[in-house]
Amino acid sequence: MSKPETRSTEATVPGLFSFYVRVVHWLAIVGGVLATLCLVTLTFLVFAEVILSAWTKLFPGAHADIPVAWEYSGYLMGAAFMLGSSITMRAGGHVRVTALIGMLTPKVRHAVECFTTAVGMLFSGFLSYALLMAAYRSFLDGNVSFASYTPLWIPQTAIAVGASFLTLALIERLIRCFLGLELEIHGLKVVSTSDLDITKD
Amino acid sequence: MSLIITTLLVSLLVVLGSGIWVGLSLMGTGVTVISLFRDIPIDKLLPQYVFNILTTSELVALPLFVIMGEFLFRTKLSRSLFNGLAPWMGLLPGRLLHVNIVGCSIFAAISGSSAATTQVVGRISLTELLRRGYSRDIAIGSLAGAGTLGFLIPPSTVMIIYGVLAEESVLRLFTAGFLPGILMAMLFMATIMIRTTINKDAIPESEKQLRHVSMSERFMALKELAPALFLILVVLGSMYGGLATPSEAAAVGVFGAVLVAALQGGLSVKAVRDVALSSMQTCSMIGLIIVGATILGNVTSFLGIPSFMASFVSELQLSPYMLIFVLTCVYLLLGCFLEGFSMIVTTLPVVLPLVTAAGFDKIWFGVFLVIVVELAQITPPVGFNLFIIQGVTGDGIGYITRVTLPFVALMLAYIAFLAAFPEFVTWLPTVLYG
Repeated sequence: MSKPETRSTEATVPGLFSFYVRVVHWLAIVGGVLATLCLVTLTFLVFAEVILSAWTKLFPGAHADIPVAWEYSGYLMGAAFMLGSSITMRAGGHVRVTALIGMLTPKVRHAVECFTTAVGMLFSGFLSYALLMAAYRSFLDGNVSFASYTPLWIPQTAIAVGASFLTLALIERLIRCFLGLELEIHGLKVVSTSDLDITKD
Repeated sequence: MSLIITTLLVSLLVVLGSGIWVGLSLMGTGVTVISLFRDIPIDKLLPQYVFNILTTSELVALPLFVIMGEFLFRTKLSRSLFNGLAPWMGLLPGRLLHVNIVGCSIFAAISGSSAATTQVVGRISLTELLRRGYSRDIAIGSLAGAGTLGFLIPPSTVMIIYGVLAEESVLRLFTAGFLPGILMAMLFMATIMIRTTINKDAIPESEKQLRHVSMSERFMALKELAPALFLILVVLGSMYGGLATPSEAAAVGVFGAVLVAALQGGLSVKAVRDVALSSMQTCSMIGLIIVGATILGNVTSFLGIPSFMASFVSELQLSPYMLIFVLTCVYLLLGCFLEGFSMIVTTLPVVLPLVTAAGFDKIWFGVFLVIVVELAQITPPVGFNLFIIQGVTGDGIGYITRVTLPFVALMLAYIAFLAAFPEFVTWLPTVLYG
């Protein structure tokens, strides 16, 4: 579980790129940490809402609830999904069809990897651009939510920033691909329920 | 119209097939196709679609069930399920082979994932069964079959996604999956009984003594099941009892799972860190697919493809059964390349209008889709659960596939049964919620 890939990256590539690698690496980690924090907050928020509504059912006089629980749990979820996407990309966690490219010879497969990364980067770039512009427009127009008058640019920016980190990670991956380096950072991956690694008790 | 559809299908095939990430593929294809054929400001509409789907409150249950599953994955439930069930299953013909089925059913009722179910139940029960000398074929095949109950018996992550995308109540879907799940488990158990009665060698002679375990010992064993039953009560009980929405039940379930893990001493700093990291990555993975799916879905309905397909299929004069037969074949084929979530979200915008036009209920179709996705999990080349079993036993994928086939056949027959008697799926939600 060491990270020889990152080390070899910094040893063999021009200074500017190794700087970019470090930036993307840190942005991915920042995004991942923020996404995790969003998930933790989301869990506590919904749990608190359950406890309070149970409290209200038991003691109808003592009414208590969190009016924004539903709305904010949605925002937190969206932010978590997108902010975590760049670290997930770097860990090789996003789903893709590998049945066909798995049959190619290493050389052809490498070319196809460059192609898929480039196209993926374009798609993700368009998504980021559209999301960033929408967040900016909503900031200028002062859009707020119906339920709680929350300025919508805040959750929209979180989602757009998450998508942008993903694009930056894909750009880095494309450069990696051109230089013929490892594409995924294995140290970022943990054994999970969606994983094929087996830990026996 | 046929030009649009051909372009869409071909570009989807190329983009997905070349290995571009599913979420980005669906999004990119949708955006490209609509820019080619219609003059609309897609860059202004797209953020709306994305923001709406990512903040849907019914979807909140999904990350919560993922987190709960990650905690459960690190508890000692595998061992306690086996210890609690073994003394009881020893009474049935087929003996401990039933631990696979009942263990999977119980774990499925607290977990939303079939891969996790296969893994958690399999890592103890399969090892024990093989050590005791049970038939390798039946032990492995029945685990592969029963593991798929993870998606059918609620809670179920596949159902949450289907519910959100098909605009159907997740709670109703969760209720609809219950009876079909139990019946499927019973069918699996019946199969085991029949096969072990015909083939006496399937169970070692020494296992007969399991009948003579004392009753007090059996009841003592039940306390091993307490953590699992507690979690089922918390999650399913609160939902079916009308006390909590799926998301609320999931949040309570997370704390229940943390409690169980803590009591069993499984909550190290490293474990919590792993839970955080892997839940976050699983959520992001699903999130990106959902983003792509909603964009593609909106684009296809903007282009009028769903209604075109619906009228096209109704002109073919297919009987509803024929339609389901064709769809089953299509999904089995797709399952060779795509995993479950991607398969559902990619096809849903086109297929759902077809099925509702043919007179099928959206709830019923959700349950059908879940079973089809389960089939995809246990058929190669991308049968996820097969790889998990391979990780436990070390057998070749070819062998595991072959011993799983009888259970696959059973599930296909089961789909036919559900198509003939759709009331079996829709009855419970109608009784409970009107």
